[in-house]
Amino acid sequence: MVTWRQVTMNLEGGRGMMNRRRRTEILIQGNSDLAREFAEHIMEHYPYREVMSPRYGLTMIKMRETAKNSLFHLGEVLVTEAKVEIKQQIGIGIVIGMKEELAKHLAIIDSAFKANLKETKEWEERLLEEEESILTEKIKKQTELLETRVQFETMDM
Amino acid sequence: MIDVVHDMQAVFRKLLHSMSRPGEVSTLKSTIAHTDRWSCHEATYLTILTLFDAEVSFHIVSNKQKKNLEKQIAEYTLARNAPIDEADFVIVLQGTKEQTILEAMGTCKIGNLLDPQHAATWIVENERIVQEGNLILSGPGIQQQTTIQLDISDSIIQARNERIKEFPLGIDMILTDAKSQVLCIPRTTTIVLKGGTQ
Amino acid sequence: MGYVAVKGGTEAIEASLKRLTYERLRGREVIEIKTIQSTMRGLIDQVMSEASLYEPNLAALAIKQAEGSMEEAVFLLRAHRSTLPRLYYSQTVETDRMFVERRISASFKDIPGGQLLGATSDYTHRLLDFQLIHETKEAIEQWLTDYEQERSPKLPSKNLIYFSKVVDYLREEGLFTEHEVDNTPPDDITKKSLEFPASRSERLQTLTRGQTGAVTSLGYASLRGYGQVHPTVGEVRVGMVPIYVAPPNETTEDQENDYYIGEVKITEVESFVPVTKNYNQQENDLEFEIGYGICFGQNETKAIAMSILDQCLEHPEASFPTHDEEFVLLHIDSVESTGFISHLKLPHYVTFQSKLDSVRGVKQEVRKNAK
Repeated sequence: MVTWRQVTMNLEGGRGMMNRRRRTEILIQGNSDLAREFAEHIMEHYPYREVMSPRYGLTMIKMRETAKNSLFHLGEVLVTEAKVEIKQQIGIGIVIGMKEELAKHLAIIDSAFKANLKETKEWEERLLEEEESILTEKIKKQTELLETRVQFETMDM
Repeated sequence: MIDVVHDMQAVFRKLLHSMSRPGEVSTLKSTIAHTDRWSCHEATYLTILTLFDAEVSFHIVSNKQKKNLEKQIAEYTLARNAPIDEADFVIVLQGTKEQTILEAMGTCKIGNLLDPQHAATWIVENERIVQEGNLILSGPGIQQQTTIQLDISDSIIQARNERIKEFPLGIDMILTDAKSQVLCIPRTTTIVLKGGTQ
Repeated sequence: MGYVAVKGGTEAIEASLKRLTYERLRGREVIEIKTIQSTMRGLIDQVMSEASLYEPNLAALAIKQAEGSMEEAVFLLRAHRSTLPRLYYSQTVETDRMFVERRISASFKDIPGGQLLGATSDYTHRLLDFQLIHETKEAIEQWLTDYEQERSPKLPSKNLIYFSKVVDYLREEGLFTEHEVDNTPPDDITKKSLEFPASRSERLQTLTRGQTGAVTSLGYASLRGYGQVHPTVGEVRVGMVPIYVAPPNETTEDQENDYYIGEVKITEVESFVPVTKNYNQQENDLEFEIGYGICFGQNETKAIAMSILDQCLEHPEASFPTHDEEFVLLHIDSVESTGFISHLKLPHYVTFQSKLDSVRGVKQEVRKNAK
């Protein structure tokens, strides 16, 4: 019999580097008020230039299939993209769906990180908090789904 | 700020018009704030912003430092910088030496018989484009003939003529100048030097 | 009867378009996009998958505009897709990072992680529920409140589970061939038209955006004997997969620098098919191969049928139409097939006249000879 070896993500995972991958996961999966708050703060305190106002476009999804381990294109997903420049650093905001505001906010936050603004250090704590609540929410949803897990009973014949 | 819907579509209409009426000069106007620092003519970057996207590649031909412009184009349009023999678009900045342009002209893509569209489109900067001059244009989109005057040398025109010999293979050209004017010479256009041969 | 060039019909066409609007409006009912989105899951998923564009809002709009006609909605969405620039390509999506909402295996009872039924209509009685005729918002709220309360607020675990793929376990046991990771850049049928023989990536891309009915029918035909594939479903999983994009114009390969852009719902299927392998003339060995099926949204029938067709097309030597890639791939696209069929409604006055003329000619000939 094969043993249980699930990959899991842990609530006590914690700290570590707040790189772009992790940061964008939190800002997009979490409450969009967080991105708004960060971005509005930057817009108030720094001169910024909208290089590309939010626009719609496509992202082609590249996948790996599990039969032959090869790559193929699944299809496109609509995204909203915005670009903003702060201190000669162009930041990009990309998000699935039609979300002009969030795209712009993400672009501002991205350029803030690229320009190494001091605020970005102060955001870390808030981001970690939000990350935890996203994970809690996901675990809750998964727990609900696990109620539909089948408990097999072997029948005596 | 780039207004994709209004500016870029207006520029596209003008380019399309100029491409279908070779030799006819159009002026590109934009509402783009001039805070953007571009080290090329306005008509050049408007054309770039209109035609470039993540699916195309470009190559800049210049004797000066071009790293910044390459980076800027990539950041604004997502287009890829590529070697001259792979580039979908070739950009010639003003003041580039004739020899450098001739070398690029000799190695750029002209498509193949199955896919003639896989050819380079040239965006060539001039100080001034003049309607009426020493170059006689004829071909589709031109009634009888029309003449123009460009800054680029006769040998470059001859090199271009050399590369479009085998229609449908060839290159299409967009000429831009410092006064935001554009003029197009597609591969279907025949250019003859006044008082000379092709 | 000679050839007559005709024009006209402009006014009739305009009146017809008005009539179309009239038909949509005459019931005097407004259906909200968000109503379609939250109540027509299956329809939206199918439209997105066949249009090859993932965007539930626009799919709902297309359904509204098309008055529920699938082919029209798919056409609208496919057309809209062509007006948008393709900005990015995603990083390779691997489905072991899926947030699983449903996952079952027909091959093994005890799959690690268990059989997760999720939301499915598989176990419903298919009796019309007449109570839905009088469903109210209050009743919906009440049901939802009750459902919330049924569940305990405590978190039983601090871990989020990512379910491993069933085939991975079997590969580890050596029952399935382990294929080397193949990073050949995939082809793209939206950029280059299909040519035969097609590559595997072209086949999968064509199948995944095939019309649900067409893919299902051909898969079924193969099962019934017009094909040589009869699989056992190894795993069906439905859930959300995260999508990442590499930063443009940055040369770092570091995935930690990627942009997360959101997630999409997909259905993925691996079917196990026993195949006889002939190793050295005498010895026949039985081995399993995998058919792969996938599509946007939750559409299990289509994904399973696709996995059958994928396996069929991997074996072109069988002399059935379902193993012929030209036959399968060129006829399953919704826009292509409905477009070609409906073009028959366009005026063919001239071609038909010439056909009539030939028939008349032949008949005259026959009559003459009969005299």
